[in-house]
Parts: sequence; C-alpha cells; structure tokens
Amino acid sequence: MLAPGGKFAHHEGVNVAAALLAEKPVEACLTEKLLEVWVDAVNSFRQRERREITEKEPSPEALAQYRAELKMMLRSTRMLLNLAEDPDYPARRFIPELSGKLLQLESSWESLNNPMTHAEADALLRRVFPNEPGTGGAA
Amino acid sequence: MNPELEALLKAWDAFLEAPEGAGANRLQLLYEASLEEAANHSRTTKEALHRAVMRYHPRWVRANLPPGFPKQLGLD
Repeated sequence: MLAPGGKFAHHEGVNVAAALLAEKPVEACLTEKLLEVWVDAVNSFRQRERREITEKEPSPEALAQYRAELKMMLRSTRMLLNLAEDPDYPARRFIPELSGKLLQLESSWESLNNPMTHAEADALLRRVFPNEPGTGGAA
Repeated sequence: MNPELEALLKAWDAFLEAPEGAGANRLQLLYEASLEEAANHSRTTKEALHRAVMRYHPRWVRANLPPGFPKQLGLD
C-alpha cells in the first residue's frame, strides 16, 4: 500500500522490505497477514467461548454478548472465505483453514440455537444408549 | 458412562477443539460417521441424535473438568 508521497506505508507486523527482497508481491503479503490475524482472532474467540460458555453456565448478559460476537465472527469469516475462494485471490492456501474455522463457528451457532431441551436430550440419549445410567441432572 | 455415547461426545469435542481449520474439516467427518453409525443402531434420526449430543455436550465437559477447577478459579 502506498502512502501519500509515494512511500510505502508502515503496517505493523508486515515486513514489506522483506517481501520485496523475496520478490513476493506486497499485496500477497498483506493479504496473508490479514488472514493470519483473522485466524488468530477466531482461535482466541473460540478459547474464550470454551472458558466462558461451555465450561460454566453463562449469565444471560454473557450469553447475549456471546451471541452478538458469534454473529460478527460468522459474517466476517464467510466474507473472508468468499474472498479467498476467488480464483485471482493471492492467498488461496488459506481456504482449508478458513473453511474449517467457519464450520466450527457454524456449529457454535447451531448449538446456541438448538431447539432440543435438556429433558428431551436426556430422554433420547437414554433410549439410544439403554445401558447409560443417566446423563445427569440439568446444568 | 456408556462407551459409545462417550466416544460420540469425544468426537464432537475433538472437532470443536481442533486448533487448525483443516483438521476441523477432517474431525467433523469422523464425528458424522460415528453419529450415523449410532443413529443406525437405534430408532432415531441422525439430526435428532446430533441435537441431543450438542445439548448434552456442555454438561459432559463440565463434569469432566479437573476436580476443583471451577471453584479454584472462581468461575462459578
């Protein structure tokens, strides 16, 4: 990216000079950096989800915030995956990574909106796994 | 716990916890295969069994946390 005056603008974490030395297009470098940062952001979000939503009963406020953040993560990941799937996009190697992350986020959304109650789930699991002593009380 | 149910929960958890996207794609297929097998052995659909697994999964995770983990960290 060119800054006013025709000089290369500084972007944190992106070594443009190294890219030039390696004869790698700056555009490709920036694109890859953007996708790497996004994958890290998804991983951080999912780690927090595990700690705050899965491992303990979340408060209604925490759940509402999580729902809003999850929606944003889903939208943005879909958008980046669409970009990466463009035949002219310079970082197509990220497609499997982004598609896997999207699959995990979609599963989180599916879990969040699961219409089955605890009682229905317990009843079904006891029927499917008859020797199951019990799936435990309601969480 | 029923070993078949536990295997199903572990397969779902492995998919959710996969650190790399490419690995998640593969683990999701493994979970789907286990789910289909379990559904075929019972009079239920794969979709219903999947919903039950998703609903039960957080309780299973919490039940399997190291002893004292939630209280020590003040997460309750």
